[in-house]
Amino acid sequence: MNLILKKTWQVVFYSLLISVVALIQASFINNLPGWLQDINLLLITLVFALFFYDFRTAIAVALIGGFWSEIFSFNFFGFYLVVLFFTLIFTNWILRTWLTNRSLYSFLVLIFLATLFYNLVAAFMLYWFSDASASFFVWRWPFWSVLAGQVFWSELAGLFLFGLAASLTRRFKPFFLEKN
Amino acid sequence: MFKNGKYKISIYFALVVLLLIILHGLRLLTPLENFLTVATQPISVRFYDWSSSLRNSYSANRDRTALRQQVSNLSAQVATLTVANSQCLQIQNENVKLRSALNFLDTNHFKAVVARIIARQAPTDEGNDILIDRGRSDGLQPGLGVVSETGVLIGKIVSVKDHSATLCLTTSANCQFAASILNQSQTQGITSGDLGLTIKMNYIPQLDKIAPGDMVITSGLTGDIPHGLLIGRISQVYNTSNEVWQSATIEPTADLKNLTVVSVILP
Repeated sequence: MNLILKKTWQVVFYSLLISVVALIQASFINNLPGWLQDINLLLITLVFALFFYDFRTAIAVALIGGFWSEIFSFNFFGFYLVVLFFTLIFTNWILRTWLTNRSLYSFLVLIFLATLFYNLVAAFMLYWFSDASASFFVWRWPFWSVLAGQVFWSELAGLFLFGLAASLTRRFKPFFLEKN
Repeated sequence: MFKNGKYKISIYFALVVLLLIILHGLRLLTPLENFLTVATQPISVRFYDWSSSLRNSYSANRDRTALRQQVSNLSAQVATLTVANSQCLQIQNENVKLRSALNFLDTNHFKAVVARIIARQAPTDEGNDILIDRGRSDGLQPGLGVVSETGVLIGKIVSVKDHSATLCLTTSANCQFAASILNQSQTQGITSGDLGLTIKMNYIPQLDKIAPGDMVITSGLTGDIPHGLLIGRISQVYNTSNEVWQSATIEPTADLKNLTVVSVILP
């Protein structure tokens, strides 16, 4: 019974946390000046959940965060959910196939690829569904400059988060096998 | 790609996403969306206010920097424009003088050559000569009278080269003119410069009545200088009873220090 209660509280707590992250993204970060508004906190949280927890937790982040994003979204409903879905599938595949979940470099590479993939999918969906008359986003310089900025700041945030996680858990501490 | 049931989870995930989209399309999610929007409004507003204040302070700082930059740019621009304006004023001034000179020449039916001053001799006790940009090729020759843009006699040509000429000013000691005072007896005399500052008129008969304020003009007796050109106004009269002649100091009417354009009156 206690375990169920504990699990329920955990679910509620993480749901609230993800909701707050989504709210911060929608109401706070998106309104910040300059490059600060390029930070995608929800995406970083998604990668963080996938890297430090598991695929299920990451799905929860994608669903809850995506739903909140849809509520505050200026795009059509389903945009963020679909983009986060594809990004999570892709990121998970990269992580399971190529990377380890115990290295800072893996985490940074994962953030880089996730940010790249997320923006490409998002831009492609916008181009396909909303802005097909405009020139293809790949040929637009602002798309790449914003993406570069977003990658840079996401990597910095990833560094910070990894440092925070490493200081709180023993998971990333180096260990050595000793010969008896 | 997926192991241990992750394929299934991904399918469920995709189905949930699809379901949410369908439910939204059917407007079944609208109450939930409305509730969440209203419930989170206070937090959203607070977040938005914080970001707005951050944005404002960022904008203020950026504006301050931009304004500083703008002030710097405008200062440089003002300096450039001041120079340009000064050049424009100079040109305008010159234009006025040229128009005035042309007007004077047209009114008096003088044949003249308009010239620009290109050099000026350093002032000495003898006066200071002026070099103009017209010479023999323009028909100039020594002895021709030179007037300012308003038609006041300022000097005469003393030497000529092909494309330049030197003139002496009326205030120079070596610059003499036959002059006439506009008084009742139209007194005749000779003017010459005095220390490069004023003009002195000598050889005025003792019996002629002259007074400060009387105008002095050219008499027409000096070579090619026509009659009636204004030289100046008498400022002081020197009259002693035991002398045969009286003399007078004449204040030049033209501003000889600020000449830029002059006209040489041709015979």
